[in-house]
Amino acid sequence: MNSFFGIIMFICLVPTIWICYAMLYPRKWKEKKLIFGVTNRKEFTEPGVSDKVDAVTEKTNKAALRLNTVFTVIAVILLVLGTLPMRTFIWVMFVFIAIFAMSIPYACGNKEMKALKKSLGLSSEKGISYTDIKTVGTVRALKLTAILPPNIVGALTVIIALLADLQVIKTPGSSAPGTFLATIVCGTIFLIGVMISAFAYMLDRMKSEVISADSDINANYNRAKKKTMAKMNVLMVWINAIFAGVLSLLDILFYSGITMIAGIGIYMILIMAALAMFVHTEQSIEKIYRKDMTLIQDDDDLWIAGMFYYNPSDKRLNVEKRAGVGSTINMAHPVGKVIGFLAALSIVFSILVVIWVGMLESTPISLRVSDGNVICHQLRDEYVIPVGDIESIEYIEDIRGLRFVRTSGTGMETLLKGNFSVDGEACKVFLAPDKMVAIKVVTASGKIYYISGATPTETSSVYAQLNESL
Amino acid sequence: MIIRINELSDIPIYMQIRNQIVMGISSGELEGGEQLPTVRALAMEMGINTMTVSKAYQLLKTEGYIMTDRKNGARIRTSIKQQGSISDSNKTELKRIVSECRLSGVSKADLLSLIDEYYGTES
Repeated sequence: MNSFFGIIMFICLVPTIWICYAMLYPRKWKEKKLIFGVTNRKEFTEPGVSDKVDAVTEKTNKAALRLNTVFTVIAVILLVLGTLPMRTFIWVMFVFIAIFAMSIPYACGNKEMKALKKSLGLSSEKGISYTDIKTVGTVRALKLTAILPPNIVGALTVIIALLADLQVIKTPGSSAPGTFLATIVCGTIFLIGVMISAFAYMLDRMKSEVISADSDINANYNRAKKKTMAKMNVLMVWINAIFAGVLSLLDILFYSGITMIAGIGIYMILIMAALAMFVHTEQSIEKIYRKDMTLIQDDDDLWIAGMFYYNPSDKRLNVEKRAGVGSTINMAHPVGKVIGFLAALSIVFSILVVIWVGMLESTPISLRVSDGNVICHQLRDEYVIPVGDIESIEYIEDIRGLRFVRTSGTGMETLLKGNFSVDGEACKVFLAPDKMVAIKVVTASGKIYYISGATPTETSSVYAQLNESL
Repeated sequence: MIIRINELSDIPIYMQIRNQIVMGISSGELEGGEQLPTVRALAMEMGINTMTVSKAYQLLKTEGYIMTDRKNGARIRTSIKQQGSISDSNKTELKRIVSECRLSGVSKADLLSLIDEYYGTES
């Protein structure tokens, strides 16, 4: 269990940074439409200029490669170390930093390419846009018959989960009645599938690119790109429905040993594989059509650091990304500004959550008997159980035999805190599960608590005191 | 057929669309009976207001280049009414172009050969 979290984070991070590397840092820049978000102009291939572009790409690619190697080595070390203190905090912060840092060489490369362009007297076409009238609304690749079946499978998992939670279907392993855990998990996964489908629909209807004066070339190029995108999205929804939905459902309802975490691991591997395949195909398409790209619109000045699109004259909210896969928002659009603000807010919020998780991990829980009360305390949380209310206590030497299912609260490898279902009973839990021991407290009102101190000694000392009092 | 829009131009966007569709019909890039995109689709694709595209289509319809109906949307007319004369506004425009050419030292022969080239290729 201890290393599963690390494995999942490793699977999320390492392929992501290498896929980003393959996408953002071109080795053969002459075959690409863009170099660090700057339009690959034919002037770049001229003698004397070509060497300068070579130097910029080589320097930037080397910087990115160094960063990637360092992050991969750190990830391997973190994975090998496994049981680090505050590992959730360390891993999540590390993922945040790595993904952010990966874009730094790209932004520097973008700046250098723009400077080179300026030194050559090249400028962007201000206010110019091209539209191929023959590809408007005609190039579509996403079929309803392809995207609907995985969503139906996802919806079925939700229905089965709901029926099991309502006890209409009897399952051997469902040990958390009343928590609606299966419905919540399957419902969330189903909604993710619906969101990917909506996103796929949006991407399929995005503006077709104009790369040539020949409409047939434009149509074929856009069709090839949209087909690849549609295929990837359908694959993502299938992976979501089968590996996340079905495996989670099996795990929750049958407690069959196929753990949810293993399901998530497989899910992440498949998502990364799908993404890698997509990037490879996209690059092949670019390579094939490079010779036909005679009419590339140069709107580099509208892209901040080659990543953020800002064009007040463009009424579109969504535009194709320059760095990465999918679409990005027009930051000058009123809705784009709101989304940008919310995105910034969510990043700040995520960092605060990670810091909070770090505090939860680093602050030991305390258990003591004071003024006739059993007090469990950590950070701002405190459970107070009057000793007079306690009907019975039981010392559990190994909690691994119990099945804790979180209804609300914190569920970490080193901390369980909040409302849980323990072997089917609704309980309040406040314990350090890695210490293995706990005291089961049953009050006169029928409330059940599973509590422990930061160490087995602290727990057994409180148990002894309670035993004397009772 | 590619439409090139210049937002910084003095010519209104609806007029740029109109002009380029007319040139497309003249050059044969847009054939008689060919379907044009819907107002909404073209506006979304270009990132401009639907009213702008609608205005361009209205103008093209009034001038007899396209026909529109609720069922089929906008299509290029299969037979465009040939008046056989240059409109007053076009005469003024042509006069302006000829004047500018003369002032910038373009010879009459060069101008005529250019007209020949455009007229000949596009007819």
